[in-house]
Amino acid sequence: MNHEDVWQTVLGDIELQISRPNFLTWLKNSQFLGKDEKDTGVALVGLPNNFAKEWVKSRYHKIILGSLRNIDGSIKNIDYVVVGANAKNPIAISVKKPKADNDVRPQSELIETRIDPKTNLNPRYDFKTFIVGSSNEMAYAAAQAVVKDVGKKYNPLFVYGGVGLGKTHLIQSIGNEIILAYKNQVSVLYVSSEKFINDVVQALRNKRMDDVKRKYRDIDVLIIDDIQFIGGKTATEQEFFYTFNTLYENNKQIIISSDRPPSAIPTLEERLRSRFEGGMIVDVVYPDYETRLAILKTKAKETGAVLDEKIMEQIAARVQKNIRELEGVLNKVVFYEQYKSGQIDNKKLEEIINEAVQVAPRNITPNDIVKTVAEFFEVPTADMTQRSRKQEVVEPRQIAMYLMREVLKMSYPHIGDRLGKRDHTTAIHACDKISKEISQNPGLNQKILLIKERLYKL
Amino acid sequence: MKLIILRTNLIEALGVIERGVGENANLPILKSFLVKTESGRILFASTNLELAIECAVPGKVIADGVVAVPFSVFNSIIKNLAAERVTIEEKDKKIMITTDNYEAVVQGQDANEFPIIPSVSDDAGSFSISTKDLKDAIGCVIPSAQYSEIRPEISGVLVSSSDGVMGFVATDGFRLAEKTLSNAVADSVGDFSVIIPLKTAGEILRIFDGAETVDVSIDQNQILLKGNGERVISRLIDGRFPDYKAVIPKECRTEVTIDRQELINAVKLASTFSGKSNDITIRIGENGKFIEVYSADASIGENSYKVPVKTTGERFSVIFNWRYVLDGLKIHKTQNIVIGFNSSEKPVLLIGEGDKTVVYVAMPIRG
Repeated sequence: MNHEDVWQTVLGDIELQISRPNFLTWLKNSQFLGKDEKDTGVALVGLPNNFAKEWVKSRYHKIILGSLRNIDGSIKNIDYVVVGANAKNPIAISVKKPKADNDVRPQSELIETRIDPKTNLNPRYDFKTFIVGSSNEMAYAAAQAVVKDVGKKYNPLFVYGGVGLGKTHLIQSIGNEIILAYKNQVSVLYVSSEKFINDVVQALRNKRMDDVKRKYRDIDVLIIDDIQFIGGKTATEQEFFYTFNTLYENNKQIIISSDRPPSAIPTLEERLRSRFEGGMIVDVVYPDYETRLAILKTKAKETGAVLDEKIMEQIAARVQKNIRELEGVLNKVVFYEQYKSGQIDNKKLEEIINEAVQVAPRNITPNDIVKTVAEFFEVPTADMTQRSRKQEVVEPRQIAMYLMREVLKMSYPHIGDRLGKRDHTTAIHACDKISKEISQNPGLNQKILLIKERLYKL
Repeated sequence: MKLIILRTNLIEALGVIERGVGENANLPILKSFLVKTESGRILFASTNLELAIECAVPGKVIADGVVAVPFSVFNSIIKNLAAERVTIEEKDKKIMITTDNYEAVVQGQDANEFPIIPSVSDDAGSFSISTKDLKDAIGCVIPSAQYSEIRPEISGVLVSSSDGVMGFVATDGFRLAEKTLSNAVADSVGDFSVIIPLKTAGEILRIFDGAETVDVSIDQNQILLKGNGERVISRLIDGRFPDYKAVIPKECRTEVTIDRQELINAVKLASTFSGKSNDITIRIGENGKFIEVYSADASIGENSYKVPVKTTGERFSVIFNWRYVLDGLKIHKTQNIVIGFNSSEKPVLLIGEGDKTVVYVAMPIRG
């Protein structure tokens, strides 16, 4: 049982013994933090504030201890600690909508970057801070082309890629650059697909569909983030389809981002998919080491922090999959150095990185690869490792070989041996074939990315 | 329990604990306050689970005891009484309030149901500070703060100490006020930096009237202030205050020295003519000999007020929300004030001439 399950059981038990209001007031935001490290039988229970701590300690200690002991007999005592309530239960956020009032001039903010209420764009994002590497140069070039030739050249522009790889940065930059380049002559609107869905739902409820139509059709550039979420929401998809057509016919620029290509959004309607595919589709993938290092350096410079070259190199080498994580680690390290006013040591650095990357550097074994690939293609694992020549195992096996070579750097003879006692030349052929095909066949590339994702998630 | 208390003392004590009384649908007892006796003293306490206020009440203890009393009923009884002396007696959770010619019985609640008010250690720091200094400093910055659900970290007053210099900062994202106090606390007070919730800061201003000094203890997530028999215990805001020092301009391209009171008048006048966004324009006149405070609204009219100034640097014209300017002028105490400009889009600095302890920064409206 993990901590959460343990605590749910305990709470379920306590709920029967105390009154509902008391339960809600004192225990709703509590959590079980596990046993203390030294294994002295002391369990840690987290509570949202000191009042709850005092109260629970004096009133419910016996019930909680009894309940916990039923689950884990080695617990002898409980320590109560105050943990920020916000950590687990973020307070509901209600944002007041700025009133649509064109006479009122915007008040600048002191500290935060402000989001332009008219375009929804965050001015923080621009091309200058966008680091270009081999992983995103295509997307970058397309974005620049769009700025130069709004609505004409690549329309729609469809950018896809994994989480935290800079999609939002890129598409918001396009918006900002367009505003800059055309001196506010062009109206730009940036929305998340969630916002679009909400607008449509609201309008349907209030019977004010015209508002939505006006809002989204009276513009020159429409930027929609995370389009994959509108898949399956019929009314929204329909409205989006009409909006899309109207804009497209009038040569208005449409920019869309998603976490996968249009063909891989399962619930997307066919007519929308075909329209997305009619424009320019570019992807952003995991940045390589050099790009990551460049990003780190830029971020560090932005925040005005001075970090040792070695430390940055280490961060760039270890945090591979997500730029946001990269930024998070950097912030933590900078904070740590300021707070301790000294250079961070290797151990602490490792700790911070591991915390962010979550998966501790685990050894991926050849078996993991075979299993993941087999599962992905839904072929029996046994077929992969035997001399079967069935058509359906050929591609999976070749991909497994390629991954073993690329991820694990295994020797060709060893690879051949693992996958059905094949000759090393077979392995060489497979690896060459796949790496060649990756660049030509986006479908294959996508498959491999997905497999890798699963592999790292193990 | 049996107590005899002067009515005026009761009113005062109820006033102190009033804002601590909570509203919680789940826990109706928070609408009550605790009355208890402790070694011959009478204590009132209220809490809303974020903040707890305790207050000693002068009076005579005839029999010890403890009970929770519904605040609003008790408060209205006491307020409307004419008698000088009030006898309060508790038996089986029933509270009898009697004077010469009045008698009431109020249903109380078991004191055991009342939340336990947490104790505060002084792990993170403790110091004494003169009540006047503390109230001045908080009163100076608090108009610049605003409660924000989205940004809890600025919904409070940042109180920090380093090398014996205390700093108080508040901001709402559009303007910021900082008050520094040197020599207010002993040098030995360690470095700390905490965010006191806005409500707590407001309470500090309201109570501690009779106290010369206030003793403050801070632990990881709470703060305790005590003085003159009154105690305030509050949670602290868990978050990182924005790097406010980066916002305060280090140097200014143009500095204008101006009579504070005169500018207050000008801004107040201009405010009558400002539009929906409360905007007024402050423009440095030719030769830098005067500034013009100008406002106009299509439906009202326009006006312009010229105030003589001394200027160094280039001429500027900046648009402001007049409230922000007025707040900034009001928190200063000096005769003259120095306004520092860098551009019409950059934050503007207001400091008192010859008094660097109060710093106010306001963001202009984009023209």
